Amino acid sequence: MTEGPLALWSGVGAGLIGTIPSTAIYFVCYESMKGVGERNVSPSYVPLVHMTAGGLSEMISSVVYLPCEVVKARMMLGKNPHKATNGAISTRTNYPNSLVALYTIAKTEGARGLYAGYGPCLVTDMSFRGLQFMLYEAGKKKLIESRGGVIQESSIEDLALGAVTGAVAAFVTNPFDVLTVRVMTRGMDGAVSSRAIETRLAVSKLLAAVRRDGLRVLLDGAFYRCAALAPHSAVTFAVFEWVLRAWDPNLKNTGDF
Amino acid sequence: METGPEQHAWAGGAAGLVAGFLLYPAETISMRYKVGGQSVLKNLVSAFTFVGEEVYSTNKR
Repeated sequence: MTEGPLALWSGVGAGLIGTIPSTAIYFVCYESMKGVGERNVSPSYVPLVHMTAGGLSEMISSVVYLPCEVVKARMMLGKNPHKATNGAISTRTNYPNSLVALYTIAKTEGARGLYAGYGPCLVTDMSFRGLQFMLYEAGKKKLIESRGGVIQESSIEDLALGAVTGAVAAFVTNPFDVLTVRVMTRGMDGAVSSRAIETRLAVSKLLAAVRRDGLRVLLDGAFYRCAALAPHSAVTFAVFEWVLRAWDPNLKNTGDF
Repeated sequence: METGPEQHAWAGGAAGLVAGFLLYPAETISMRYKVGGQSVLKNLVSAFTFVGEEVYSTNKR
């Protein structure tokens, strides 16, 4: 019997339950903060407005998506986490589905289990989103300027720009991500202690790994992170802009994001 | 015409749905690599090959 290709979608239910509302909340917050910020600062500070709006919006939406993210992180390790992680996780069984995972984590580990790794996760995601949106907006502006101020709708352009900015932001913020994942998945081995202890343990283990193997440990998985987040960023921006244009075809004339 | 929160919410939700579903396997592979160093090839192979009997008998954790 095999695990099957659907194992790669393990936990997708929890993922989508978290992702759909949180992305909606994210864009509403981002656009609102961006609008207020752009009207109140000098043009040279606008990139900072984009970065701050990107980071703060992530902080707000994280309240919704983080519990789903923890469930997702554990479900992603498949039916046999021991095998899927080359033995890094000792347990050989996993939750049968996302609902059971959510219920069990809430029951056995409480709120701290559902928000495991919240601190490092927030640092990772806020820095990633801030950088991603700042680069995207800057890239968009450059493209418009290069055409002499002519705004041209192009999903291909949105895809390309989204992919590049997503990859750069993912690479730069990879060290935070390495730490976050280690904290998030610790509870799987029954290691349930306070969040502060969990984080400290993960930090000390990571520092030990850095001392042993060098700084390259901080770039562990950077290629996969970029490979996963670049298309994610591309599709997110392209779909977002496409839906807005479909909603109001006049947007291509005004250049509203 | 300016876009407002309602449009942003719908467009953001749609973006989350499409990107979240389509690129989920890539995230899974990335996650498994980060936790245990499992490579893309190993992930794809194991998605089709590994399983212990215990997975099916004791997965009611």
